Amino acid sequence: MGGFSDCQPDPAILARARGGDMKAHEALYAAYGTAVYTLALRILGEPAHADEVLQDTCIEVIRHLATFRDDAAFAGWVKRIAVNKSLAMLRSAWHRKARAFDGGEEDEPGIAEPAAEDDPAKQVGHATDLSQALDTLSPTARAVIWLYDVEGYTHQEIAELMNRTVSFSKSQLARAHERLRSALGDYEVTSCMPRQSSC
Amino acid sequence: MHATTEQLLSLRDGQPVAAEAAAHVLACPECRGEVARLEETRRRLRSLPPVRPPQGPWQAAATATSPGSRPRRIHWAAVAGFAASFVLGLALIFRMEPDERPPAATRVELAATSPVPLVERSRQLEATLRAMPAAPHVTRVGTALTVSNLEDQINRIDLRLSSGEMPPDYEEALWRQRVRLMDSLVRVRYAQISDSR
Repeated sequence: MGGFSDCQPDPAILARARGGDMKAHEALYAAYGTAVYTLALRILGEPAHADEVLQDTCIEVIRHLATFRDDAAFAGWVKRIAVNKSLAMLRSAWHRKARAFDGGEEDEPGIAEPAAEDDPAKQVGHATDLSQALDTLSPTARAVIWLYDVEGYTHQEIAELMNRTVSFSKSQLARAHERLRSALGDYEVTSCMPRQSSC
Repeated sequence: MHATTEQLLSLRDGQPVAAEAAAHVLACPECRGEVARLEETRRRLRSLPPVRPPQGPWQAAATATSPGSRPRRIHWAAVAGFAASFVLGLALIFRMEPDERPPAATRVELAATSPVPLVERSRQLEATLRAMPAAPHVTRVGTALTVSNLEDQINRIDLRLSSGEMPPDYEEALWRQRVRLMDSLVRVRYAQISDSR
């Protein structure tokens, strides 16, 4: 399905790529490009940012493959690079911090959000599919739910990647699920059980 | 009381939760249904189709890593060039005609006592940078290094600013430093453009 688990390139191609063969690098890119792009797009929500992450990941792979020797761990290595670059891009958006000073939403101390939930364009009706619903999450919540539920990271790992606490990761995951449920208009199960209330 | 989403997620993932909450979920069809819904959401997330990337990133990466584009070792000559270029850049700034100088809005005012004016100044400087013409194709190595160095420092500050709660004084100091660096970046970029004319 184009995930990192499908990305196990031929050792011969890896060997040629290590030798600087750009055709081999292009073949590697064909193997990991979709997985990296999908991950970056799901975390960042912006195709332009996903392009940038893919490009930077690709450059890092080309430049450092010669020093990377564990062929079996290639997919994990590329995934780690892509995740780090995606999260670095989230962090480097300094203007998000600026929003907090303007009185914008600051429901997560320390990491200000661009408040996708406040975007009227994204609130017209309920999201018709899960992909659209993901777009309505804040970037942090989106990153956490994707890393935890899809990529299989633990809360401890996410906390370390984001320089936050385990409880932060857990609360972001819960928040992401609650917002997804709301965006998908899936009220039938929850209408009688709002968060932390009694029956 | 129903279990919280966090508790339901922990149950979904086989992680420990308070005995009282676990007992409630066992007895509560709504909470059990919610656990099933959370499980279903995860399954749907995992089955979202992959997105095929455009060709652009590969082409850009291949170009950036082609032999001619590899970063070179820094030799003493380059270091000397860097220093000379930095001095030249400063000289260019002071030699500029008034209408060529960076807009007054880019000058740093450091009297602010809260980050808000500094954030606003940072924004203005960002806008100024965005409005400037693209960097010339041919530029001095030293100027390029200066720009790169300033951008790296700004990125490091951005990382710190977004890394969590911090004392107000420290945060203000970071914003102040960011504005200083942005101001320098704007000046060097002006010098770079003037130099290419």
